[in-house]
Amino acid sequence: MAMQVFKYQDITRKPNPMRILNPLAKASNEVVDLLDRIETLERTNAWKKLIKQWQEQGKMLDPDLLPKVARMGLGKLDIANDIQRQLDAGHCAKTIANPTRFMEQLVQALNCVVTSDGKWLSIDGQHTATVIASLIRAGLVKGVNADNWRDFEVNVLYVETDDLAFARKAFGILNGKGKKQQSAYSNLRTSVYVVRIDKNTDDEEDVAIERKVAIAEKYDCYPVEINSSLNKHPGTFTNVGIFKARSDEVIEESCKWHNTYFHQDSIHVSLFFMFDELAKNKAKLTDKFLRELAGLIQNIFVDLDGYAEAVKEAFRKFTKKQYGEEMNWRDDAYIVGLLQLYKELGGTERVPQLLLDTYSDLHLYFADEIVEYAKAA
Amino acid sequence: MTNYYFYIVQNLRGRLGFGIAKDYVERNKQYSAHSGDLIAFPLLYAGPEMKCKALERQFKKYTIDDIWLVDEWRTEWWNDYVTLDNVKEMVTDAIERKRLLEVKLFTTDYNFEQGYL
Repeated sequence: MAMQVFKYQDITRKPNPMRILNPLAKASNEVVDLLDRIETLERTNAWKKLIKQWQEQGKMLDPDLLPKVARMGLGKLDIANDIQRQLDAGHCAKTIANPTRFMEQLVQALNCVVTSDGKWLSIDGQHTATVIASLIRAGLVKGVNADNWRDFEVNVLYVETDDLAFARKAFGILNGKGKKQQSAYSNLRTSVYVVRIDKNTDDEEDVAIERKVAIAEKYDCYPVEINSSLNKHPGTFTNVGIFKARSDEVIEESCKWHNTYFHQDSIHVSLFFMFDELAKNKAKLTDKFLRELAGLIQNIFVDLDGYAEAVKEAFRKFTKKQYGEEMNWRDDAYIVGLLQLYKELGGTERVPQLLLDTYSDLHLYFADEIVEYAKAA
Repeated sequence: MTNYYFYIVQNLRGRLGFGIAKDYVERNKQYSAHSGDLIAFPLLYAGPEMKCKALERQFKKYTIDDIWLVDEWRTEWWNDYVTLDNVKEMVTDAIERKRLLEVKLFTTDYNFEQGYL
């Protein structure tokens, strides 16, 4: 009787619209002028409210206060230790000056404040400045004598002020606080486009990311941006960081399983965590086992979203009972709860004992209606 | 097996919304008390809790573009153009797509004055 709970019922497969809509499959190569973006912004309620706030506060942008541009010899640059971070030598050596990545065209302008006594204080770009000066001193800059690093001119954006509080805040903004960061998806898209559109395979990381995306796409699984209108479509997922950190084999197995049994759903991140744990614990993924797991989820929880919600609640109750307080969620509990339930309900395929022993008896903390339903199924 | 409920709610102007409840009478009373009038559940479905929750998730995900927004707040009401016929079709489709076959239409045009059915 209980074995019925493992019986997966096939679901009619419908064409996945993501095959046409997937932005990673083709770049539009479309270029629009700035007015397109301006009009998009002006149509939003958030922007209309913002304009009203400026008007109510009598605030006006003063062009004279915008940063100015100059060429400055590196020798003039001072670093305020209590504004800038300590120099990160690893960042200089492994990232900025990495010989396989370094491109002169991508060197950024330095940001400084210029005080009334003529000091140029760096508020952003100390690593860039240090790398250039050090490359000169190493004799690695064309046409520049190693002793002349102080005279070598770089582009600087500067603001004239004696207000060091301004400099401190500016450093925070230029280094992330208040600045829109690139999303994980946006970084992934860049890697994929570099390989697919530009046919550039110089960067191993870009190549590895494109390969992972291609494996997922083979099984109708697609990374999309958080809050994208695409994430309602089957096979889409937004946890790009988790995806990128998985091995090719884990992506292959997990996406294949999703596309075989839950092809009508978008992907819950638990999929990647569960297959990762199965791989780490050298579980034997027989067809019978994989189908029974799908059946168990389908019959009791409907889908991975339903399972994830239920196991998180079980974990909360389990930790409270075991340790006297609720512990933060741990991602390995996704597979532990499922395998314990599988065995409790009579599953016969071999599963790694270590996973069954982790969070021992977690399965007893699933909600009563789940246990009743499972046993009646 | 304790039943759980998935309901379609309609406000006095005709806007449709959705939700889940363990106690449909209490939930209908809450809507009515907030609105100051009898509020109808034009469609009330019953089934196991996990299946009703899955049905609600389907609606949240697949009708996301049709959700009525109060500023940036996503409500559990749809825009005016969503009709009861649209909703019936979506429920039927979701039940089939997700194999939620134990979820059945329990009653229509319900309000709390009818008590527990």
